[in-house]
Amino acid sequence: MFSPLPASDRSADLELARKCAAGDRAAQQQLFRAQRGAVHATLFRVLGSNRQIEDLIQDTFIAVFESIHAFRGDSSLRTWIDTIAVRVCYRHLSRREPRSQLHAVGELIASASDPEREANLREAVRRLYIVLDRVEPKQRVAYTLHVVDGRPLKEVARVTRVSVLAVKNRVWRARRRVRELAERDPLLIEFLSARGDA
Amino acid sequence: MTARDDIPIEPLSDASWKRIERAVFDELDAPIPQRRRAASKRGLRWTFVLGGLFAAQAAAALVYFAARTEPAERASLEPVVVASGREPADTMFGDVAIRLEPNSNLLVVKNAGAGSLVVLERGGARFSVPPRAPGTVFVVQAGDVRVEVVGTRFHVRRANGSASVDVEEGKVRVVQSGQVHTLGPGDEWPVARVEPAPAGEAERAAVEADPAAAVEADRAAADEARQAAAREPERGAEPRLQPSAAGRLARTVASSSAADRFERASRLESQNPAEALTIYRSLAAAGGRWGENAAYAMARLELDRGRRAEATRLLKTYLSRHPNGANASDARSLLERLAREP
Repeated sequence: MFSPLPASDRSADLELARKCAAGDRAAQQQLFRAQRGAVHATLFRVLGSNRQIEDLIQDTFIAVFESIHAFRGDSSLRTWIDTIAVRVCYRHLSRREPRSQLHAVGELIASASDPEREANLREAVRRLYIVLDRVEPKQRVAYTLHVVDGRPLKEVARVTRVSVLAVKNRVWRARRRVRELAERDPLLIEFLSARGDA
Repeated sequence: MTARDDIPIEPLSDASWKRIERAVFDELDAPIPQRRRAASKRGLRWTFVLGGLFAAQAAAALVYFAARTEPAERASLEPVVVASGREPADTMFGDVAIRLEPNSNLLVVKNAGAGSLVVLERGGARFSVPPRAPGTVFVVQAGDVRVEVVGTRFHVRRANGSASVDVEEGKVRVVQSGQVHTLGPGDEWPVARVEPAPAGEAERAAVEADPAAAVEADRAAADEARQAAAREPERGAEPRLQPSAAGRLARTVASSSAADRFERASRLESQNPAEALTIYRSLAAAGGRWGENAAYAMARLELDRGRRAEATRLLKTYLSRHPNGANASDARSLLERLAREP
């Protein structure tokens, strides 16, 4: 199911993991600094903002260091850490109450030449994540990683530890739910349509 | 087309990253019980691995499971059979994520009132189990060994008609032949034993069985080990134990976490390599995941100390025992390097 890693990458990952498991602080810091961006990106894509993200990044890395002795090099260290970040997302989404609004989403929407378009994009993204708050967490994770982040289904399957078929199913259900919830929101419908997702 | 380009990742400030990094490492530095409480609060999923089981256990396991189930619910005990072919397969069973190794079969029974039962008929599987509701169980049947998830993270491996269990967090109950063993963090089951050694081999076997656990778990006993070593200087600088001492000290192994011992050995490498090697040797003798790592670490450390012949011997020993081990590729690389650079 997984593509084998090049031997040199696998060896380097295993060595770094071994040092981390042995309590080598320099190695742990190296891993943290090398992977923190990827962890942040995954959490941000799924959650849509930096709200509470510091705690979740912290949770992810604590879980990483507590279980790194179990890393066997079946996938890259980055993918392995990504699976833990996704698990942290699940847990967070499963526990929290749906929010009525998001505060930070889209503040850094890619600058567009048209200020009105930029404002609309920002607002559409904010509404998308409000809608996603009402989507079941597993479906939301699959949807955000595949549709929003553009990751291939196979990669999403890898980090969520389910089959590609299951990911397809979750994305399909999430899309259907998002469309239902966005039905009366022309701005969001337009945003999704422009991306072939409505 | 995706929304990726429209939703750039909003960066965190340097101050935020520093705060996160400090928090992560502060928590790692916290005493283990506090960390475990924190981890428990976070509700991390539990993951365990189960080696191949056989269909013969399925019937007995189902009987056991049915006995825990109300009569009205028994009709719903229809097992689901999942099989993989040449490739690994992933599936979800309720909230439990299951990854089947190639050529594996498993049988899963779930009942809302009693919990879930898994019997691996063939091959192996990895399970990711979220916390159970009070009063429900998650049971793994392995040969004549039944493992009940009480709330933990642990490993189960099939081994020669039985199974071994080691617990990282929380508790599990292991039931075999009607005997119940409750394991806590760092516990291993079955308990490591010192087998009787042939005459002339006794001392060596004793040393390999366990001095490190003594060093770690019982300082007084470790002193005894050193005294024993002092009485036999011709045997080298490393502590040597009399068989009786080793037998007594071996009993401390069960209460000592292999992971902690490995970590301790790793920290000792620069200041006290002899003691680090002793710990590694005992871990290697006990086998298991950390034993394999320790066997490789011994070779690496000997190489670091410039003892190339010993490093070569240890690397060859490691590869003969763990040809597909986690460190096998590194071991081969080191051996090649040693061969290239006489």
